[in-house]
Amino acid sequence: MICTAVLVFGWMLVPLRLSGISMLPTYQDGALNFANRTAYWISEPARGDVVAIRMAGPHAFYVKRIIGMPGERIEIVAGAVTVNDEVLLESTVTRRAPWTLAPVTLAPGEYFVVGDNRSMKIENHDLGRVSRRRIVGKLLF
Amino acid sequence: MRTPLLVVMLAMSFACGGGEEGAIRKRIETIAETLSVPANEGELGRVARIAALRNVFATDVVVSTGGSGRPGAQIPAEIVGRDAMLGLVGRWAPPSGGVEVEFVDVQVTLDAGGTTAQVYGTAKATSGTDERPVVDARELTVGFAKIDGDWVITSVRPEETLSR
Repeated sequence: MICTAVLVFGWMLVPLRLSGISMLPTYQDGALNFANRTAYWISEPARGDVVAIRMAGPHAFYVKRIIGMPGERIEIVAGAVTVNDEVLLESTVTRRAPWTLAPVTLAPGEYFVVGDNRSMKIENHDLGRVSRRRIVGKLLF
Repeated sequence: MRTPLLVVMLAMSFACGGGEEGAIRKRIETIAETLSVPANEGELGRVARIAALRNVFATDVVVSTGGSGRPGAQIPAEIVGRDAMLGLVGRWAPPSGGVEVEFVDVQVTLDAGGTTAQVYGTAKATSGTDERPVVDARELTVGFAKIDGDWVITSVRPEETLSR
């Protein structure tokens, strides 16, 4: 039983407590969740996935949604995200400030991530390009 | 019998972060405690805490803040010198509930001479309440140098987890 617990919580599911408002309304501040490491064992991250992104090690993560895939050109104009010049429909975003972000072309192995809460100033929101190797797993629920 | 026991004890001391690396890790813990602000800190406590920080930084420390550096910005892009750094800390008004600072996932790389080191890790600052904590985290690379027998910070540079 201990071995199973070590296997599950050490290798497969990473427990997370979300802190902050950047993923509202999808995830509330203080919510508990798990990063499922197995999600990307046989497939790669996909647009729309909410993922845990590691910082220096396994004790601090960002939780963000993938909106851009490797090789794509991402731009934000008046709050609307465009991918290769086509507007991205985002049903999870309910509050949208008029953000502007200059076009970014993603390198191989790079994803573009952002939170669902776009009501704040863009300067106060952590978003941007992230390397595949930093993506730990997909949020379980 | 004694020799194997000694070897095991030495191995354990290194595994637990012995030597200079251990000293740096202990120093980092002390720095985190000094940077943490207790709830409702009084003026005397604030002055004592800032005075203790004087021993943490080298006189010519360079701190890159990751700020814009634009004219009128609250925090400059780079702070040069211990006095400038302490002046900024002194002007900062922490939340009344206090701030707890900790460094996690710390990796220490000593140079060949053993007198300077690079420390990479995540700095976490937790404020708010127990029921509703507010956590801010940033990846940092911190340069250390051993000056007059003490490890002091010579540089601080934020690392971009997400880059725009």
